[in-house]
Amino acid sequence: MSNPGVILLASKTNIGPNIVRLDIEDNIGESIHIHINNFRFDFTIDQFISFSKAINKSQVNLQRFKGLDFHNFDSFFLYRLSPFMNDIDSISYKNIKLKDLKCAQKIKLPFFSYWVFKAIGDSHHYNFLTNKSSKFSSYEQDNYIKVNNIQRINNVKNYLKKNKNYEPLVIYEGSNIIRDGLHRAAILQNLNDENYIVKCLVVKFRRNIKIKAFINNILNLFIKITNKFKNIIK
Amino acid sequence: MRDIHHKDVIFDFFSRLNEANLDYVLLRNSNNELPSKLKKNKDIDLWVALNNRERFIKFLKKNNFRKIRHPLRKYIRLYGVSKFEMFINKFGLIVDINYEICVKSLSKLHLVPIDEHYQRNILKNFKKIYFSNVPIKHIGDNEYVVLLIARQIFDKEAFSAWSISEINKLSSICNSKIVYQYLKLIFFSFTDELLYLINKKRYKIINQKYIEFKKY
Repeated sequence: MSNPGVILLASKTNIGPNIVRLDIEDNIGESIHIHINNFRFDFTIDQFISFSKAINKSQVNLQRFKGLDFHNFDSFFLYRLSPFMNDIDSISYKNIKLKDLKCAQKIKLPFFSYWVFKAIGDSHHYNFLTNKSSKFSSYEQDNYIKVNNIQRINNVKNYLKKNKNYEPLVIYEGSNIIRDGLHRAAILQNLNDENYIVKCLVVKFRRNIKIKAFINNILNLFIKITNKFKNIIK
Repeated sequence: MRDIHHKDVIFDFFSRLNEANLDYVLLRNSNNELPSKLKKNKDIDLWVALNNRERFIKFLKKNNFRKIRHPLRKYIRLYGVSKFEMFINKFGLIVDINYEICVKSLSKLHLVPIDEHYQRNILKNFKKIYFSNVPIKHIGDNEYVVLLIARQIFDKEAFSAWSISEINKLSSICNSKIVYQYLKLIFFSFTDELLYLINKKRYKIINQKYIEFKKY
């Protein structure tokens, strides 16, 4: 039986020496599938949530993370961070003025894209909130299925208007670039000003992850190019 | 230049198709556009038995159709779905051939076939309709309403006014038990809620409810 209502929740290849394929799919109305190599595990929604909580609990209990609950991280960021989680040495908190932070913005060209670093006030997110530019609506970013950029930023804005407590922004030690929380930062700057102090979670890595990140990016680029060629051949 | 096909072109195509004795089923006739209101940029959506493919293509070529690029060619066809094919003749009549009934997956650029049980019944349960005196093999009502619902949810992502009126019309003549069985093969545990929402005519919220569904 084929279920067209499949949402791919996560997909990873070549994790360590033994896992070639790891896919997690939500087959709406049917079950959650976890594919590991040639095996498939079926979960009900409740079973999958229990499983996910158990994984999180074991993560929290690891001394290295000092009780850090990854469940509070944005799912997309956690997903991107996953290849480097084993390299995390420690985490700490720091209060920083918004004007002292930078954000990464994707520049998309026909065949490739690259990142530039800008002040929060120059981001598409902030410019949308201040009606300076409408480029944000088509800006490429990860969203939950059937949620567009505008719905997403408005949801975060409504949350921040009602709640003083927000998840800290995430930065890496030795850098002022926001790794997670640009929506929050842009909204807080819009609601306050650039001198507003925000709480940041600082991730310190055991070693320099730049080489690992570079190899990871090269691999992703290779997969993208291969897929493009496959489509052209079709 | 007329932007609508002359009905004789349509009559001629289906008459020749019938003469060739090929297994085909007309999958839709939106707003009764066939035989006399088919716009030139619209196509005729046909299901053709895969084992008839070679004969069917021979028939099209003999009748001066040439192959053109299919708009869904970039989609990844899951579960070994056969390629869709599209042909055009000198009058600009476009024929879209499906060897298996598919819908777009929620994942980007994927096409997923509807369950085999449904596929097998497409030819078995066709109904005969007539364009003037030309008999046409049209998809059966039960299979049609299921296709209509699936395509609105997966392909169109919303129920159009036309599809709603078609579903309303068909709901009184379809066999609810058969339709339920088909829907269950596509929507699984969501089927009961889907039928409840259709019965209550709450079409606008169906897609959202489907994405948010968690009772499984």
